[in-house]
Amino acid sequence: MTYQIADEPFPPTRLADLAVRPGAPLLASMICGHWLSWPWFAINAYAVGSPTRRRELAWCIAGFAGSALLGVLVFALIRWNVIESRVSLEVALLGVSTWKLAASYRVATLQERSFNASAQAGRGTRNPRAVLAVGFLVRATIYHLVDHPLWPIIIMGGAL
Amino acid sequence: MRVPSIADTARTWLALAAATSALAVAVSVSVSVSVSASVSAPASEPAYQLAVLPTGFTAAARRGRQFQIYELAASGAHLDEYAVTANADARVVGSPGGPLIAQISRGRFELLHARSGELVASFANASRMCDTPAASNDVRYGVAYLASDDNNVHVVHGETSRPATASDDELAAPARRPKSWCGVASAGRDLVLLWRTGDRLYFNACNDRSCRGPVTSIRLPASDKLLGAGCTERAGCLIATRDGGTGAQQLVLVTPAGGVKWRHPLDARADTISIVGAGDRAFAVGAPGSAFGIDRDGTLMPLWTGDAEPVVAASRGRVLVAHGHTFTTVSYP
Repeated sequence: MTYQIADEPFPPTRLADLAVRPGAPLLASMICGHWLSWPWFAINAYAVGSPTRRRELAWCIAGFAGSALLGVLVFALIRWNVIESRVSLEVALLGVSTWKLAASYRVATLQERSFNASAQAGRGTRNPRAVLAVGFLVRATIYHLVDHPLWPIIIMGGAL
Repeated sequence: MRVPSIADTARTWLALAAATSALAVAVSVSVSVSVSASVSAPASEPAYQLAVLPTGFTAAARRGRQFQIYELAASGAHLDEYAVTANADARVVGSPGGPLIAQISRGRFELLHARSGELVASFANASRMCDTPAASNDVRYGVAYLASDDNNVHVVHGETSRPATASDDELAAPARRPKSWCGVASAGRDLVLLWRTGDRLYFNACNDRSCRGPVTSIRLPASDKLLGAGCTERAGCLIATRDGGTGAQQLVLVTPAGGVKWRHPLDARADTISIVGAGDRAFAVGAPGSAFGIDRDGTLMPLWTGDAEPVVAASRGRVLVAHGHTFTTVSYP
């Protein structure tokens, strides 16, 4: 007879050594940018062995795609002169930031359950400080990597 | 009851808007009958730099290694003039203590009192002055240069009328790519930094503490020439461009959000067009043969016509037009 606990982690993979607490990618979304947080969430989903990793991946992809769509919408509104003032532009960009943070928070809450179950099973975790520090240091370089106004809207987080 | 169609509603609103615009133009024409004052300046090279002083305006004309500085009243009346020695890249701005000379000397940005030569501020690692380096209105002045260490646009700025806040500072534009063009323009209490990278022209508004962003941009092909730029607090920035292929010149109003509100053909051909913000929703433009005001709706108002290439400055509802060897002030907007 076999049984399945709903949030039981999958067996450890080769990425298991890279598992971090989901709060780390969430923090990265704020201080480094979403260029780091969403790929990190995706890797962490496999590292933790999360049974909800398909949903987590879907949210990461939705984060990128939704930001791009909202960014295109903001630029369309600017082009049509619906958004003219700096204040209305800031409000519109705040809307995009809210979407990005909401997507990150959703992935983090999904992953947190799997992470807790994984921790109960005695699996170890990595200290995320080095990744966060490097991500923080290179965020300006990433910002200037692509010379298109949509780029920072998609990839940057709360710090820039 | 018949529900009006969208087309009917649009036609009604357009008719109302047209009637309102016509009324507004009629009113503005009637109240803008200007009091002009023309003062002749001595014969010299007529390419003036203009700036705003607490008491009026200042103008500077290069004569070889020297600058001839003119101090003018708000009416344009001649108050004083003197000669100062300055570098080839020197620019004049106005401050509570009188005209200031900004220049780059041996890799350092220097700001000096024009009359006394006293050093006001000095910053290291200056590469070159920006292409449109000076901004001056009745609130603030700013001089922009490219730094050699980080390739950023820096602006040294201060208040035009309040001596208590004379400390100058550096505000950096957050972009590290090579810049083919940079400049600064006054926009009410703010300064707007402008720079070109690749096929884009970027704008970043700076208050007296920081360049807060968001950085906006429009597409401007690298082959197109940027002839001039001026900004206001509410209407955005007016830029003059020349198409690299056809040679057609136009004025383009860029909203504070980075959209193009309208384009207006510019017949007069010149390598530089003088543009300044006048009030918070209008601009004064000096093009060969004429100076005119233009508001955010594109309504034109002739300010001066003649044979020279005029340069314009604006302060407290008056526009100074320097043309040939003469200074004229006109009330606008």
